[in-house]
Amino acid sequence: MDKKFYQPFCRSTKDIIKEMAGIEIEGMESMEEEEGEISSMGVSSIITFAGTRKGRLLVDMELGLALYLANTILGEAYTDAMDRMVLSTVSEINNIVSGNAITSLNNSYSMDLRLAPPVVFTGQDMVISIPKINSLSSQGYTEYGKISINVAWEGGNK
Amino acid sequence: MIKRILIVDDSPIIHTLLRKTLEKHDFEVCGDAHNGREGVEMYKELKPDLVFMDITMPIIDGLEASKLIKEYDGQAKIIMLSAMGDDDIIGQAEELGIDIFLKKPFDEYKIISAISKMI
Repeated sequence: MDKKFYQPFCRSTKDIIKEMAGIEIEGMESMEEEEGEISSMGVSSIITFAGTRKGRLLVDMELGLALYLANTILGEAYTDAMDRMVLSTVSEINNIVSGNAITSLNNSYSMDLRLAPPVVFTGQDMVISIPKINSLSSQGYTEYGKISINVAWEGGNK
Repeated sequence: MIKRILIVDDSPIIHTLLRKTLEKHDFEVCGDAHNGREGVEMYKELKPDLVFMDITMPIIDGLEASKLIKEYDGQAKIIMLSAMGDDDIIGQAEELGIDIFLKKPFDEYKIISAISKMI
């Protein structure tokens, strides 16, 4: 699949995190081929979308960044990244990032994509195995920790 | 008289953020529903002045829930608040008689301006 179907997710991640939490993500300008397994940095969320094509977005970030985002957005002082509200924040960020990106794809390419509710999970160095599907990843850096996104479309990257 | 508002969204943080904003401006959050079906049931039970409705939710989505609420009460006031916002989905909401469609993320100004147009 053409890279134009992946790139909106990078732009959306940077824009939404800046709008919601006021922080800049350095990097995350391009996407690289990812094959096989992804090792989670701490908190991950997956959201699927389907329309004329099926795909999914995985957002993965370090625990420190997840805590910073939750505390900034909610005005609280959580210290445990396993807290339900911290996980919910990461999940909702994924929902908004995906919604923003697929709105752009729908308006530009009539893909009729609709989101499914996101799933969130936590566990450092947890391995996320994605067999039989090619995907593209992009890494970003903030002063509070790293973040990465991985986008996959049914039918692969070609 | 204090206006009563029902929030229908599957995200706990949206409930928290909306409640903070609404209570700051002297609105009462009369109910918190976490999927479309709960939203319809709570609307019938609580008869709120206004509903904030998400779209992507489990069991039944916000568009279907809005349709059911509008069938029950044609005068129901619903503000859609969604991460999605393409032309097609906005068109579907307009067909259901939804007057205001807000895209997430939201801020206090967006929320209060929308309410002031509705009630």
